[in-house]
Amino acid sequence: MMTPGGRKLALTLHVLASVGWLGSVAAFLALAIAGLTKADAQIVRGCYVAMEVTTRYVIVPLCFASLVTGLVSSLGTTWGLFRHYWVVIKLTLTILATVVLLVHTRPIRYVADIAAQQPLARHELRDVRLQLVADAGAAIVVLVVNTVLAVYKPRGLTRYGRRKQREERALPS
Amino acid sequence: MNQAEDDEYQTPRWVKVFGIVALLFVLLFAIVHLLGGGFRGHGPAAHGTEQTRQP
Repeated sequence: MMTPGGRKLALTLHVLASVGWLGSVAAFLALAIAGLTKADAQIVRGCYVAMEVTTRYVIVPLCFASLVTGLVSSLGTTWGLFRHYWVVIKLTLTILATVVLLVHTRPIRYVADIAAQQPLARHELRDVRLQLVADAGAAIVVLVVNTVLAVYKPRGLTRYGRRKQREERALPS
Repeated sequence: MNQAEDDEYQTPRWVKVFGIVALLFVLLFAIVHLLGGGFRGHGPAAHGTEQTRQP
């Protein structure tokens, strides 16, 4: 178990990374919508180039920072990783979001590379560009759910959590 | 809590509701991907085809 100071530091870093991740995905969504709907070719090009840079240098690092600090916070405190349903669900959602993000870095880079070379026509790569909007929207839903779970911490011990609780109560103090 | 109580324990209702909603959300996400061609891959070949650049 971590010291109280260590717990607060880990929690602070986790909140910073998670909220930063949510904010950067919101910025990504705004750029994805602008890239899809704006008529000005230069703005559209700028949007996709900015999306690639944002993904590579902000979203992906914050995503991993959130995952790592979340693991440290869970394992270093009495919350544990598999004791409470809300922690298990939050961890699952974070891992899923991380995998989906990593899978989608390639199409983001692809659209950005084309946009960097020359203007994109309105119809060009429309499915992929629409996909990026949908992905960012889904990511925001997941991250908002994670935030709500972290703040409300709904009750409910897992089977493992109940067994651990029983074992701890049985230990002589 | 003893073993008998442990066996009788029910998963909280919010977890069940959450699971159903999450499943629907995953299905919706999968359908959107299928309609957008996202599951054909995530590379240039997958997302390009007829929509890619004109020479």
